[in-house]
Amino acid sequence: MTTSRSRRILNLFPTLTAILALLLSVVTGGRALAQVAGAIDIWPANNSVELKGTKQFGAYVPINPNTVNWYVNDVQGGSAQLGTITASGLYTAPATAPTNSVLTIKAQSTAYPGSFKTTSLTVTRPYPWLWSVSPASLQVGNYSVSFNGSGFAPDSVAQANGVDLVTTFVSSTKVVATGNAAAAGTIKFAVRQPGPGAVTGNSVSVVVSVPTIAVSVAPSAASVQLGNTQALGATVTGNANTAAIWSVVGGAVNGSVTAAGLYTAPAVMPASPVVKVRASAAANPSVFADATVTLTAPPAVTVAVAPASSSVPLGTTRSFAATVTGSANTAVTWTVLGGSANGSVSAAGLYTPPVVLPVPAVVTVRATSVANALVSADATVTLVPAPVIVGVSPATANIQVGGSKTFLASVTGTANQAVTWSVLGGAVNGTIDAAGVYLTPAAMPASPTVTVRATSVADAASTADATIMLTPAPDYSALLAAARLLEQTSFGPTSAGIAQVQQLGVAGYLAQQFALPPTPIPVPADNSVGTLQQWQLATFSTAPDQLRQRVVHALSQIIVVSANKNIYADAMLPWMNALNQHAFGNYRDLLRDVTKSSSMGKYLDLANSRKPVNGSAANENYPREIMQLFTIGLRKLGPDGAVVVDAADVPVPVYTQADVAQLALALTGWVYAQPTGGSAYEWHGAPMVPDPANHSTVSKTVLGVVIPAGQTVQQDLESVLDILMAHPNTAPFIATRLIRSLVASNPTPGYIQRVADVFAATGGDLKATVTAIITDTEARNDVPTVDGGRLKDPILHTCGFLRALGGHFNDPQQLGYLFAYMAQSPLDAPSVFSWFSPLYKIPKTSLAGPEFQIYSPMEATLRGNFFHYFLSNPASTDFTVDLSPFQPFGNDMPGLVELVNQKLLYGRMSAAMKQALITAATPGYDAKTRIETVLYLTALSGQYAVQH
Amino acid sequence: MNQHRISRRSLLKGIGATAMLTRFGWMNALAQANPPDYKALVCIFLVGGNDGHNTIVPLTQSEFNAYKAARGSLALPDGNGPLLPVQTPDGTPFALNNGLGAIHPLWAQGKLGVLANVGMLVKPVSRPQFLANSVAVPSNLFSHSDQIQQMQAAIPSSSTGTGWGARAADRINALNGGSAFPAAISCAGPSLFCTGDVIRSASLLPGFDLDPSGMNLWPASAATARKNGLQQVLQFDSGLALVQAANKVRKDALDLNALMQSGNASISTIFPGGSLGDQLKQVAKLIKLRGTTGIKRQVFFCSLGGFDTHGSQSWQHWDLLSQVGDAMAAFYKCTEQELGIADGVTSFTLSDFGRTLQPSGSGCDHGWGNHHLILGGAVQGGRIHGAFPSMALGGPDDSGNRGAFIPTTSTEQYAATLAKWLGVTDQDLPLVFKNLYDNIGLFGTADLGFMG
Repeated sequence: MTTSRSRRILNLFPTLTAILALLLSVVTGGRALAQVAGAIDIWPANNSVELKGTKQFGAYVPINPNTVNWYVNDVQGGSAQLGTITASGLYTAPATAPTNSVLTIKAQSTAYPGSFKTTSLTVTRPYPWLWSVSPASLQVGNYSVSFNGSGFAPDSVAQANGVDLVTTFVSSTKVVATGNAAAAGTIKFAVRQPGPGAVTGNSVSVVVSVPTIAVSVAPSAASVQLGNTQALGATVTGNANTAAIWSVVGGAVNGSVTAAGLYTAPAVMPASPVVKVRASAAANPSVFADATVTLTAPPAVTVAVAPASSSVPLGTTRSFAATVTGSANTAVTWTVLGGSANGSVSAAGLYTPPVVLPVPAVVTVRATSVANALVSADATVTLVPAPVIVGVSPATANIQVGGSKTFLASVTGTANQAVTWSVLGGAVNGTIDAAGVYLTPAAMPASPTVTVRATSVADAASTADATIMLTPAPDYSALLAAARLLEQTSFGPTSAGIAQVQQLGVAGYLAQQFALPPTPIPVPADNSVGTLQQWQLATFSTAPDQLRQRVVHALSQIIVVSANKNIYADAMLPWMNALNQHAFGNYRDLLRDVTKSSSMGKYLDLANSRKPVNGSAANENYPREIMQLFTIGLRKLGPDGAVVVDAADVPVPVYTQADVAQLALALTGWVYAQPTGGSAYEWHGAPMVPDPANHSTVSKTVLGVVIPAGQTVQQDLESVLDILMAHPNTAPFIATRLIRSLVASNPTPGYIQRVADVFAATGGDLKATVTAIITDTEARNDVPTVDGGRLKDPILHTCGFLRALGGHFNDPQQLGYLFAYMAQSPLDAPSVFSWFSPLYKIPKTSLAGPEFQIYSPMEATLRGNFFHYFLSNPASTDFTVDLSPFQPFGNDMPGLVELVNQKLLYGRMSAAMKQALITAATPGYDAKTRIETVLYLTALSGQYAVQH
Repeated sequence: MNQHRISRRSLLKGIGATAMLTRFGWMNALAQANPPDYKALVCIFLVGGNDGHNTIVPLTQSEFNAYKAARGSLALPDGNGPLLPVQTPDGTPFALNNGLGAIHPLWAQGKLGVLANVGMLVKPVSRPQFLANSVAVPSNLFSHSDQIQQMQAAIPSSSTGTGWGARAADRINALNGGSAFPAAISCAGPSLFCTGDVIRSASLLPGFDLDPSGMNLWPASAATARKNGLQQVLQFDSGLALVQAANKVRKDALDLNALMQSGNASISTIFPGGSLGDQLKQVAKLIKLRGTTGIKRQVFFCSLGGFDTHGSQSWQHWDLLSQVGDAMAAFYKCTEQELGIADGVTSFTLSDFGRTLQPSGSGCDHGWGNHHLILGGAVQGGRIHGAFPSMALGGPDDSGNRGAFIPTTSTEQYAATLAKWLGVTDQDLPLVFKNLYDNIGLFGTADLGFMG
């Protein structure tokens, strides 16, 4: 009986799951079910293994042959999610626990599928060892404890006596948790890893003790004038109950004290002028402390105010002075009788009239002695109406062209605070909105001095001006030129990359990149595509040979092999290595290597394609795609890439089904190579080899060119390459695709033709072609055109964002599903048509926008949320980001916005956008929030999404 | 004073809502409260290759005997419960798997039908022709990755970049007028079925209403400022077409997020828990929004995995079919009673391929032709469409000797019948199903007659 209902398991991405999990199953064909004598046994039974760990299984097979196939959850060989198991029974656990971490390992007879044996295997997360906790002992009450150990993860949860604590992850060897010890005794601390594969580590015990009680009073001694008060404070330590009970020793004759410790001296001097005020611990009244109060007699005090009477206009202020005699304490407190309707007065005696004239208009300002509150003096103020006066702050400002500034207006003399704002000289000098936000004009006006005016709504004759001195915008042209080059030739500009381009120039930078050796592709020990995906994201975001990897990324979308069919790393590597090797080589060499590669042989079925026998046909899958997708496309093209149409305006097809069939004959006779002593079945250790017996040797006619009869397998392949490379479509076809991938979705025909001419003239030299694409005036024009640029795909968008933040992907295995949701799972295109069509048009426009095909509202949201994840988890192990360059600007919004403008938009942020970001970020609680707002909103902008 | 402030605020709120819809290019919400005409196809892909032989079983004595003999230990009924009997209009008895109890009553109501022995074909092919290899057949039969693609593409080759759901929707996109709401939506991650030449596959995962991260921060004033800032950033006119287009997508996402969280997308029908129930509830939410969005024709894609039952099939298969039946029944009930659109919504199953009639141990192996469920108010239900195969191993329908039946109906015919009902014209159908119409003389018809 299955206890875990499979319906609880979300099938989140069925295509991938199906492919990985299901492709493995073996078609047992027409083999009859046979009787099996004897039972298979399997060991170890009911075991467990940690993530990424291995477990060797063995099977006892009492039948002949005694070989078995190994399955994980009925998937032969397992899968990236379930873990893999080799033919010899070595199980390697996945990096992430499956939702149901209890797996079923099955050994099934290769000869008799009905004979098998299963056992369970539990995948656990790494065991969290707890070595020690600090402090080593605790007292009753709240505590904060450091857990020191090993194997901690960001989601690890510390526990006290089996109860989860609020836990903060510090590192894999340290977490910090807070809790409360309710009573004396012992607490057992431990750490657990939640979720699939959950495991709880060992515990460490800590003794909790009860502290002793003590009371102290502050101040411990004071001098108080008769009738006055003195605030006293009591501190009770050593008990949860920190309350104190106040009393005056000797009773009311010596004064009184409130429950809060406010002592009031008696009005009459008692027998002894020294009085004790006592605080007892509420928890144990026998423990107390006393404050010693010395009582003093009050002096005779007088107060005088100057000026004693005056006339004050609304909107102005008047300063009053008080003279106190008879006390060393000459302080007074100021009040306005009648409250705020009559104005206000500061502690220093500065009187501010109300906004509205009160009735009556005569008010009293009073000074009261602090030494003797019974003594005061009054000043009489006669209020008179005031003119409306407008003020502007700041009165002067220096603003860079492209910047903005918020001006504040103050209006006095009327309750109507409203003003209208204007820029003298009109829009040529900038604009200002109703909130006083001034935006400079895009370019420096004739005079750099601009006046901004606030006009009172209550009295249009009342105005105030601020004088702005416009300063020239910073010159970002060099930054922009370098950054645009890097957007086209790398996975995003970095500070170092920009400096390098500025030093070397375009030609020097390209030469430096062309000279770099390819980053070698590792052979994953676990033969997992997941490892390659991880490697590729890390490499794209860090490798020094950025241009090569960028061209590989482009070529991989023209000549596609995908892990959706080639589910193991060994079936992907020949193709990946061919792209890596030939990215700066010759397109013909690339086509030849890919055609012969076992990767493509498997992916598009060229392997074992045989000459026709008994009415069967040669496999046409690869022969069709090598034309449609890899070289000439579907429709006849002009030398500038324009589709050729007939008289009826219908595009002219460039090949027919007959061409496909003929080309298929020419490519018959390729089979997997055979390793020494091994099986040739889908062996990926070497390129495919000719199998002359299955090669069609008849004469073929492909695209109007005759391939003579009697040629060998290799000769026919060379003939096919001759025909395709010489075809007039190939150069504009490849030129268009590479330009779209590197520079712009909508290149002009002239640009396509210039690049295509280089491709054709050099016989498909990719270094020359890439150079032509990148150095073309259309690519190097830093002034944006209406239809220019291209939308970044998810890989470029995310790698670029990390690189701009001084970071990179590190070990993004946890993030693979996000790329799948964003419809660009690395190395795992959904089909030979890649992730998106190079012909896709932006909806309801005539503009090409290939990457828009995978930029639906949900995918855009997921990308944005990915950016937020980067910004809010800088301590992740999946990637690194460095926000420290922004931190000095946490309280300087204009400075912060300008830095983000440089980092992400290379100086192209409009004044309006800068102001919007400043407004958006300013209410942020702290510097971190404000920095996040500016980076996040900029990352979400179309300006950043589109490479232009 | 207070009252005045409140009424002004509600007024502003109302203006905001209208402005949102206008920006998204949707039709006037008030004028379209009752769209006269809406149709949707809802594909339920049973990933792994559903065992059709144990989904619907022939009950005439001779065929049931043959079925039991060939199926051996896999034969139904088994310990999961009795078979659920149904009959065709001429009285021929069949039975559904016990797991399909929730949709069983819909057969008698004429809402649920079965298309028998359908699968990918290049041309009709007989057993002798297949054994002699004299008629072309789809590439890589019996391969999961290839057949998953082919069933979604309705093209008998694995080399395609588009799916038939979206290709059909491409042809009738004009019916959707100015609505920018997605016409092809997958609730199971990116799918080929929903990828068209024109229409972009929109992926809307259940439970994810396109909530943008980082918009709920403290204090509330900071959150408001950040949200307002984003709206502003997306609205600046850069004068650059691609930048504007990228901003529009994100604005659409914000509007869609608001829409998905509004009461307009709230569903009261109880759906079963689990992946497929969640997905179909998401579809119901999206269909409910039709009055707000003005969309008229949509295709949806959902999927459920686990059907590759090579072993331990009995309970697993019952459980999987229970999920399918429960979810489809809830979905139908929702379209009928809550949405009032049962006649405009057709849900149907697809799967990689059928399975062998002959078991292998406690499961069965990859086959070819398969039986599929079709449910909706417009379905000619209560009957078997197509030709039910003879339950004989090595018999006239068998491609070998294990009961991997040669399809007698093409997936393209199945798809074309649904596409035509959705609204694709006779002129346009050949553009969507090229291989079918290239060989229409051999296939006979593109309309199997099971719709309306």
